[in-house]
Amino acid sequence: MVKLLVPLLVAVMMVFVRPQSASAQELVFPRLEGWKLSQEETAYNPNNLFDVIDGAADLYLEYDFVDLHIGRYSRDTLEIKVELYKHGSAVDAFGIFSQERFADYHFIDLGVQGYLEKGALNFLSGVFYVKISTIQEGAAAQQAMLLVAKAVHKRLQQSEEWPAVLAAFPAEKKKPYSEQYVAKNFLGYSPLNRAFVGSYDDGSSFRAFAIRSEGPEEAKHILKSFIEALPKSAIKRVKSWKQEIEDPNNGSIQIVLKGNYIFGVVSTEAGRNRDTFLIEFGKKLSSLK
Amino acid sequence: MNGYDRRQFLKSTLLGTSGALLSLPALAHGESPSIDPTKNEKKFITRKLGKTGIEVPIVSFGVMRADNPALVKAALDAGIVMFDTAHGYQRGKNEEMLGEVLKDRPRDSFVLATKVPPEEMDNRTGEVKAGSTARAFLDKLDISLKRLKLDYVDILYVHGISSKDGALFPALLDAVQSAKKSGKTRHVGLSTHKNEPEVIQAAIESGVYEVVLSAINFKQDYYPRLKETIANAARAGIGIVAMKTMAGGFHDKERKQPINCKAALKFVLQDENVTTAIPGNTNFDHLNINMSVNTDLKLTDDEKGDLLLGQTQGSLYCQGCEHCVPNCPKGLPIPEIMRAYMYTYGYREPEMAHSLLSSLDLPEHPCSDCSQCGANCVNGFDISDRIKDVSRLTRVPVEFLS
Repeated sequence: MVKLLVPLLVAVMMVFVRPQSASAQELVFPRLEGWKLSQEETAYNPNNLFDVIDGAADLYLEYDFVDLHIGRYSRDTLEIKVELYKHGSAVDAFGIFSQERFADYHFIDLGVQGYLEKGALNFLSGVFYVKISTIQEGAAAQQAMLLVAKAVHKRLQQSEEWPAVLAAFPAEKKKPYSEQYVAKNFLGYSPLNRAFVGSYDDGSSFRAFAIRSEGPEEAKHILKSFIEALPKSAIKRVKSWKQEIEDPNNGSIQIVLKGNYIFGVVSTEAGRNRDTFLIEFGKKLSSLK
Repeated sequence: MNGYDRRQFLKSTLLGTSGALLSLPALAHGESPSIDPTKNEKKFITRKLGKTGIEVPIVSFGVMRADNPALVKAALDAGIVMFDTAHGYQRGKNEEMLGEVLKDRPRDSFVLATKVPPEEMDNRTGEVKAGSTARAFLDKLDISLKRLKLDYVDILYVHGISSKDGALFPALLDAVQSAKKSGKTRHVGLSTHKNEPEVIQAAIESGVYEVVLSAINFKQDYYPRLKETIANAARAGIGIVAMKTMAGGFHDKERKQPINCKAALKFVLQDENVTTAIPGNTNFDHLNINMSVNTDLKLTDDEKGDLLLGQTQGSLYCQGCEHCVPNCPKGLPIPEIMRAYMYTYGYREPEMAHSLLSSLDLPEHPCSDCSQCGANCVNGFDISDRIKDVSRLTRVPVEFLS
């Protein structure tokens, strides 16, 4: 029986467990007429990303970085560099993209979101964070980046949707382009992970956040762990449906546990009532599938 | 684990192969407890940064992310003095965040270091390209200063140098000297995370660099040579700052076996020629752990054991550089087979190894046709021997391995 089973098992494994290391074959940069394309033969991985982006690599690894391909397009004196960062999920790709995006950038209609700045065009497309750059200046260089970006984007063929949780953030008073995803250690506390964040200004600034857990029990556990991780000097007030915390590190935190979600607001300004906001936020989160 | 405790196994079988860590000195000397933050009962161990005149606690802060200024504030309040950032981190958000936090602090209460990259550099070779200019470097410094809301930084590094030529690239030497002359930085240095001994030696020869920020950790197989070069640099008056002390944070490629970061940090700081280290603090727990090293450098027996575990695993760990692959006439996936070898003898997980090997579709006797192996490992693994050894697993029914 064993003799029969082992070859079968091995055969099954050969079909289903073959390592997925073929991204170099999957992702060849598109050729562009009139441009010379050179592509680095091997991709960078989590173990050598540091060779390319030095200390910035640590943050990429927090967002489940998978691999990086680098290509260069050249024509006459122009050279356009393309870095194709692949992450474990679209949410992770959004997360690292959001960590490097300023709200006052010149945003363009490309991918899930993109922007064009002097010498740099970055965009998000599915699980890919694409960074295009040139050291050349002038309109021709900017146009060339756009041309390359559109071709790369077309080649990626990704599904392009915002992370669903972001739709639940109340739109009123939300700062444009302020949405973020923090994969680990939100507010500096290890129990708070996978946090979606948006910034608001209703006369004073505050941040709203939402963490979706696998189920109500896990949500309770996360909240409990967070409360326990707070400094002893933190002041905690438990209300019927929310907790108010004065955290010496982060300021005023109002936090709510509802179903699978932990959500709330953080502000350096203590005592401001944001119940209306929290109620609306909670309803919207509950309505998500 | 078949009744084996993995750590116990490694200690019992491989202890004899590596004695370096067991002979570590209990404490370094030459440290002075001069800073006494009000919130800490114990005095911090501080060291001088070469000839710069700067004296800082042995643990500083490598600021890796921009989304949590509260951590930086907490570190400042706890007595950390030196903060390290870079022009390129989060496209400048990192420097902007630091600028916001530091703007309310007295300028002489912190030491700020930032890193500016050469204009053009080859990622693979580390070659600084001929077109790189001092002007472009200085323009980036100006942008960094604006983000940081500072008139000057305390240390300006050339970022990511990995060769002697890079360290001595004329435009970069001109740039850093110009920055210092104009008062935009108090001191100049370079950072390196590849070919560190060569780069540090070049920094000494330059007569320009005052500080070197170098990757230093217990997993570097060339650590003895690096340590010797660091000593040379210290004798030349160059201050040494350590980064990447955690060696990537994990023992294994799969990033499942975390390194004892506190032990790894202590290990690097045992060398009195290393002034300070800049671990990244990703949360308050990490910050508290790292802060504790500021007052107690002594490695416990458990910490020594954890480091030893890491060293012995290093002897099993394939870096995946693939230098060996082109020289194998059969085109075997050598890094994957080496990984299976590590699963077997490092993790004691023969099932994992079996699964991996099975997926590779190897010949029954992969090396049987070769009388001599042409595939050489840069880390000295006996590749053919390991392949012959571990490939036997594929001929064992998996039921016998569980």
